[in-house]
Amino acid sequence: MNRNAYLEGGTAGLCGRSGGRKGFTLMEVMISAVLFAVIMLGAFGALKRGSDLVELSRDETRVTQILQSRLEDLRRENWAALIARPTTETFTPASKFVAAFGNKYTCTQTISSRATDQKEVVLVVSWAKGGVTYSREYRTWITKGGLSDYYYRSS
Amino acid sequence: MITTIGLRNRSRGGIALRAGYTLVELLIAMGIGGIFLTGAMTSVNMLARSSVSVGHYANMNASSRRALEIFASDVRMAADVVTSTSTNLVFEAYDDTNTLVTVSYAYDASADEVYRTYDGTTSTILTEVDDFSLGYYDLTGASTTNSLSVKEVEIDASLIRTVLSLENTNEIISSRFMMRNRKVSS
Repeated sequence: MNRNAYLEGGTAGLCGRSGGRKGFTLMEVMISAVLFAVIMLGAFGALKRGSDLVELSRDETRVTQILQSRLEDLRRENWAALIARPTTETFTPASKFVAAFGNKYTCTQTISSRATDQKEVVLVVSWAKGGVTYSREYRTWITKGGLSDYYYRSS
Repeated sequence: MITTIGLRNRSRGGIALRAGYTLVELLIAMGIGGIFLTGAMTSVNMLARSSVSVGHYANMNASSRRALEIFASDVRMAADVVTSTSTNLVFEAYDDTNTLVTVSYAYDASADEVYRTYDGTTSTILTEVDDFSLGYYDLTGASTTNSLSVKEVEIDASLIRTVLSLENTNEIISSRFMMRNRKVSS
């Protein structure tokens, strides 16, 4: 505001003295300044939106890896260990994620019965960004003696 | 001030001279103009840099997704691990005709690149890699350095791009991909 007042005084003085039309009038300068500001605001707005989308995409990349990792962990277990798990539990991502991103991602796992000797596993990872909560989920069926048993351990 | 007075005097003296700008007026105008130009230049510069950065981030994210996808599908077909160091992984994997082929992943710290060799064909899978390490886990999920007991593999890498003096980095942490076709004892 101070700068504008300064400009106004200076320009008015110039115009008054020269009488004729020389250089830019105050109006022209102000219009061009406003125009420039609007363009810049638009450009920065677009940039902000763009970088937010890229950030979301980066989060999604990480989250898919967290979900995949958990799924591999579950599939490493045998049937007895899987059914012994509680219906709903929270889990922490692999240590490297925690080291790099702290507890940014909240991970929940739900196991429900789908059929005899078949469980449905739902993994949800959610995170907050700019006041919005995002979440992504993986859903799979694990069957006793099915393809999911990559390696069967008795213990 | 002397200039100003001189100019005014001349103008008043009947000669049809139009009054110019006084030195003070010029200085003020230049000062204001300078401030505005600096502001405008800074914004445009910042905008340009940030746009390039966003492009870098999108690009790094895309190439990491691609690399992770390829790595995951290779590792899932692994039948045996030959070498397992933090920057080099060599394993035998089944190809689409159920034949064992040698697959390797290696980090070249001087070239800042990660190479994948599949059945004798080498390609660059990640470029401008600042840091790269592989982590190995056994059947119980515990970290291991013994090739014989490796059941899961994890990538931890950092990509870096620079725009002028600004550094854009992208941290890749993969999931612990399981070698589904590999039999290991617990």
